[in-house]
Amino acid sequence: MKKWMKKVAILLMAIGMFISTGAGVFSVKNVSAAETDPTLSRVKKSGKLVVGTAAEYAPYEFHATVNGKDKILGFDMDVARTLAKHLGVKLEVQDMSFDSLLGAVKTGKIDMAIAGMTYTPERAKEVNFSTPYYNDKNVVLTLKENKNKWATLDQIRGAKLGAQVASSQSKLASTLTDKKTVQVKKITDLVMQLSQKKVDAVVLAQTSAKSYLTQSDQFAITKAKLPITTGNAVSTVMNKNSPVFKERVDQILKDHVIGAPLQKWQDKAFKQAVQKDSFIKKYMPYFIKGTEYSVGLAVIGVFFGIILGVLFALMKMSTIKPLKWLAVAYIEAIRGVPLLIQVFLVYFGTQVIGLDVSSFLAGAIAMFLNSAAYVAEIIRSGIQAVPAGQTEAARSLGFTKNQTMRYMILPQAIKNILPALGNEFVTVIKEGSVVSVIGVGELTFQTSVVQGASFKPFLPLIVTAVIYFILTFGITRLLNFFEKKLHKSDKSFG
Amino acid sequence: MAILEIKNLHKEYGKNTVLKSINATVEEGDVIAILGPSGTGKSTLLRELNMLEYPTSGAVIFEDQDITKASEAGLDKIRQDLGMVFQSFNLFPNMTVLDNVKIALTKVKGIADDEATATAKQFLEKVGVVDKVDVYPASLSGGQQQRVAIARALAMNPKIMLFDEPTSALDPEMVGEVLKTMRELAQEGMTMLVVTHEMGFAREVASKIWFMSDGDMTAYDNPVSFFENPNSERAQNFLAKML
Repeated sequence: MKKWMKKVAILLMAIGMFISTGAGVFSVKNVSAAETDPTLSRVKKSGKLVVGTAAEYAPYEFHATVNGKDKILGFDMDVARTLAKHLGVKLEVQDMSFDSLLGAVKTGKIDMAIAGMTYTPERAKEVNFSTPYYNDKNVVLTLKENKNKWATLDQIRGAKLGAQVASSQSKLASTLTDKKTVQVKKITDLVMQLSQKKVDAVVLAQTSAKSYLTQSDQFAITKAKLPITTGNAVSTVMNKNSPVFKERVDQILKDHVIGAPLQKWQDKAFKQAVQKDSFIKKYMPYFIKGTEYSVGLAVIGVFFGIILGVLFALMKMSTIKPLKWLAVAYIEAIRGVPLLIQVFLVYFGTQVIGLDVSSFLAGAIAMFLNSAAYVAEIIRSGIQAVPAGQTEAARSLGFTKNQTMRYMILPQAIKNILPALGNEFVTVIKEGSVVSVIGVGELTFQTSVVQGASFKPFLPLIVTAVIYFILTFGITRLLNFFEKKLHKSDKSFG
Repeated sequence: MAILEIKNLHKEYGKNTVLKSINATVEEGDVIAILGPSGTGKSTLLRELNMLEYPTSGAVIFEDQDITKASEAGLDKIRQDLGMVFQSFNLFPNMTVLDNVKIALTKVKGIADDEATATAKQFLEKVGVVDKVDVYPASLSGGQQQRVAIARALAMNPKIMLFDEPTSALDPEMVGEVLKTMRELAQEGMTMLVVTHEMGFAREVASKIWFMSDGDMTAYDNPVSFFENPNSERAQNFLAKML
């Protein structure tokens, strides 16, 4: 019980932190003074270059354990180090989600973003792009055994091609083949389809393709030369109001990065990305973090779900008609709509009414609003399953209605509902995977991260499945134990 | 002296009339056996004496107060004086035998814990299950459970005891031990109303018979006159079936 409470406390703190960091970003947005302050003078004044990155994209930037310490490696980090060195300042790296990088640059939270970011007209409206320091060519990846089958553009016309949905590669792929292209959201899934021969070849950026080559000797890059216009120009990203800073950065990139130095760093990064560490050792932190979030979501979901559920259960059993109707309407509405839709409704609905809610908080709210409906029904049936004779016996002894509820009905009802409540907890842990859609870092979300970082599409799924099973099975066993303890009063001599 | 008066007590469930304007008086020390065929309103009548069910009309006067008009709080007080024993025992399964008897003493009457324990044990001794104080009801036989239920009601020191078919759910070999307890109680002068099908018990122990049939009630002040010479066809038919 103590551990439980500890976990709940940690989670409540976590929610608090999420809210406060969210508020932090929000308030910085309103400080327009930071945008007018030239970045260069800030860097010079503070003596450090603050670089933001999203370290989930090997070999550009990725987390790795070096001498027992978690570090961000990748050739982008060498680029950052070189820039800082030639600016004459120290380097400070901040890891954040890819989506928040542009906002951080605009608000001056970071001086520069280096995260394998490619130029798009939309992004260029918001921020300044440096001169590209690397052109990540598109290549065609296929199985080694088919390397010669798809060696020319002519041959590829007859291939079934796969590409990441809405990417420059997907446009390219559809012009290369006469067959219909397969479009998938994640590159890892694409590569899995390739290994299972569901597609003949995959069009993707060279850097990603090479990573797969280092991970597995199953694949090969074909000799087919793709049109030169379809590269991915990778730049660093800076605030629009700092043209002088951009000039300096461009110069350093031209003098000390582009060409041979970058090539050297890339080779090093590729090697580092393929660490000797076992998969588990390397990626366990992701799974642990995801498990914490999953359990946290479930604890919050069921905890507040029970509080709200008791309320709705009592309302549904109330003799006051409007309360009863409200409870019935809520329960039926929640049970009649998929959780996925409810998660989106909470996440985007809070934005519509002007609340800046983090994805974790939105996910947690959706979970307990959903859970409350089911818990309400569990509690109601638990209370109603206590025989009427118990109430009659208690009342005939002079117990008040409330006393009867407290001493006779609820203790028996709790015993009745514990198994169902346990099932609900298990259900919530599993259904928590749904909130990964809004970017909550729970187990299912982390699985995608590991799939991306490890270039292994299947193994992370197995690990996740095992973790889910251990969680749910463990909880079920634990509940059985408590249930047995509670039922000691039912044991008869017979 | 009348301890309980029933005046024009009437009960309808929808179109169904269960009690037809019953009038009766209970004197202190009476042991009244309420007899009659099944489904004729015996239990309903008993349950309307402590307002587990409310009558459609009529009055129940207990100590000069019409309890059909008592407030919720007033009723909680009155019910302490009207002990009730149920067909299905209705012991609290989540409490030990001792706690079953004790809890109303401490929580309703506000008696100190050690005093309540002593009182509870005294009544459990009286009904002969004092060796079972620490077990849960589920491990007792039906007869033992019903005797605990009697002890639970008696511990509240009630003025009247209401028994609603106390032996109907028992295996035949356990009926005797419960009836014995009830007989002892009657001999001590407890005012008792007993809905029962135990004709032998009614004949031996009851001081009055209330015969119920189709919502009507006929009171016999002398059990012998009911059993020997029931001057109604319905009573004769009933006795012919039962004896």
